[in-house]
Amino acid sequence: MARTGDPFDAWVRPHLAAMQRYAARLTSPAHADDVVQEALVRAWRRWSTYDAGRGEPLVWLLAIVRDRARRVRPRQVLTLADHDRAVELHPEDIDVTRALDGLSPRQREAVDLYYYVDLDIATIAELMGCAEGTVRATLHQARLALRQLLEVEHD
Amino acid sequence: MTDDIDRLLRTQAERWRATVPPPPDVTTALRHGRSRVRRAQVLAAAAAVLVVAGGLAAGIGLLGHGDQHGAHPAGPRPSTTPTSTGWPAGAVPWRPLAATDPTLPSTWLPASPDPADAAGVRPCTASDLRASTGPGDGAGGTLYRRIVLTLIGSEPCRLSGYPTIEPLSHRQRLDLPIEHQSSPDALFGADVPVKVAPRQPAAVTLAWAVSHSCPAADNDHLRVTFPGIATAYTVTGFGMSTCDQGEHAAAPLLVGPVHPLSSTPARKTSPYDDVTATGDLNLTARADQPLDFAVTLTSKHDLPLDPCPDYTITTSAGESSYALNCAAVPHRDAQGRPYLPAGVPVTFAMRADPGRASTPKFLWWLTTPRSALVLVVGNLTVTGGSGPAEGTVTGTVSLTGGPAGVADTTDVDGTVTAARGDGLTRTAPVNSGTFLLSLPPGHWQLVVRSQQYDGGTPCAALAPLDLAAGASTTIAITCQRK
Repeated sequence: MARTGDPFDAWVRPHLAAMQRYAARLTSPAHADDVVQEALVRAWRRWSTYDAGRGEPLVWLLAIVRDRARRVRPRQVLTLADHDRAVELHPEDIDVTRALDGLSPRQREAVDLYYYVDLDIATIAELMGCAEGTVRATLHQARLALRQLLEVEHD
Repeated sequence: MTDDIDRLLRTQAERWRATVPPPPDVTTALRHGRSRVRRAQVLAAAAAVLVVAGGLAAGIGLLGHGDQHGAHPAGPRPSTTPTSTGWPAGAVPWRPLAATDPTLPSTWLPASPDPADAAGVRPCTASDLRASTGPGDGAGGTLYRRIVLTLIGSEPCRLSGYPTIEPLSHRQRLDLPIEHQSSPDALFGADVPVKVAPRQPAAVTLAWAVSHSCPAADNDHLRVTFPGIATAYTVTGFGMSTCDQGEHAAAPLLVGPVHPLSSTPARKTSPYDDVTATGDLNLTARADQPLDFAVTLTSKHDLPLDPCPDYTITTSAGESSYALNCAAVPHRDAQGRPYLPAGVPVTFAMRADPGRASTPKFLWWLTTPRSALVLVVGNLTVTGGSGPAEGTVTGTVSLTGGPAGVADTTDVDGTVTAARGDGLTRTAPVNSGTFLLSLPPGHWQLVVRSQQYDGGTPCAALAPLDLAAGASTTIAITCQRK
């Protein structure tokens, strides 16, 4: 097992925050720990298969997080039935959360990775398996769609 | 046009990130990790097993889904013989030039206000500042409070660092852990000196997971002491806390440093920010005919096309990237480089494989350094076509062999690319060792790429797959580790 100063620990540590955010986005902040724990175990076992010359470790780790997240539980969707939380939520946040659910899966993934997980375009492109231009276009389309969805919300 | 949506998302995302707990410790995670035996989904029906040797695919210029730049554009290859009059007279001719992924010029604009403005300004005293709490907001059970520091007089002063916060409940100090936070934007701000001036207030952001802090407490006030200022300020607190069943700990009070109330973060800019693209992409095309259209680029300023940018076209057939035909642009600058003259529209002829399906996402865009796009979007209607129905290929991918003691891997993630002899390619993701491809009939070569296999080296099938029109077949691909 990894110990402080262990190579695997040092290698994965810079990426832990992004892994946690991604896991929280795919499931919920409350379940992120479980997902990241399982992802770390998996990454540690498969660490020998990773080639640093072939790609960024962050992308490799996030792909494992994504895989693990599918097995934990589905994304917790905020609904107005969460009345306790809704009282403390900014009204704008409620609208945006609901509008995000109206995006296509690809658009939602790009928005989550760019805004919430806070990744750069190149990393997102590698993670989504597409060109950087595609990511930018997807984000643009998502913003257009959100504008329409939010305008409908306020009608 | 979507800048307001961009700002909205950034703001909400910052608030959401503050609700995400810190990641687990690596050592603890590995100690408590569970071992699961995962088996990829085994597909029923007959399967052709292809034993694969490591190495590159031979004779096929295939690239993975993310590799758009190389000797061949990833995607269908339209004929270069003009077949339609979709190109206006005077348009820069279309050529299928391989994308080169050039590094286009860009610069960083500094953040505003510049922290250097605070240099040489006298330190603030208690008599310089008035503290008030701005409107709070929250997300996911966390409330935010902003303490705004307004200059009382007219002479600017300097303030920096983290304030000391004492959460109070009926004048008694609440025992809450305090954690310092910072961020590059104005949510918490960066820990840099701040010049407080007339109409330029400073602020401190506090956050507390008020719905997840036990035991319940009534934080009615906050006592705030700023670095270098002896006098404490008392402001409104977060109010009553609650917690969910199973929660036991007091949530930490997050405290940001003194930062400008209004600020603009550093951002990247490039000459392409002032380029617009226009074109009529609301078109109708035949499924078996190349689609000719035109895109016009207009720059507000003289823009040298050196290096020459790439562009990408997306239809239902997939996406193809090419280099712009800069050499054929009729305008030259003083250095002899092709360029877009300021305010002069330059039209480029374009050609694409329309695919077989209509799509509202017929996209053309220029690859530029910023997230702002030089983009044209259209609705493509595809009609006719004499081709037969597509079939489906469902498959599994596993890794075998390698050093002694290394187990077979069936839970493989990556991509699979199918290529036909006429240059048509399709790519699909491989998730947990399984994939699904929809392909026209023909003779297909499949290549798998996964970081788990030799760091992404293509794993090529030796035997091609023959797919009949409308047929469904399964395949198991085994990549032999070296």
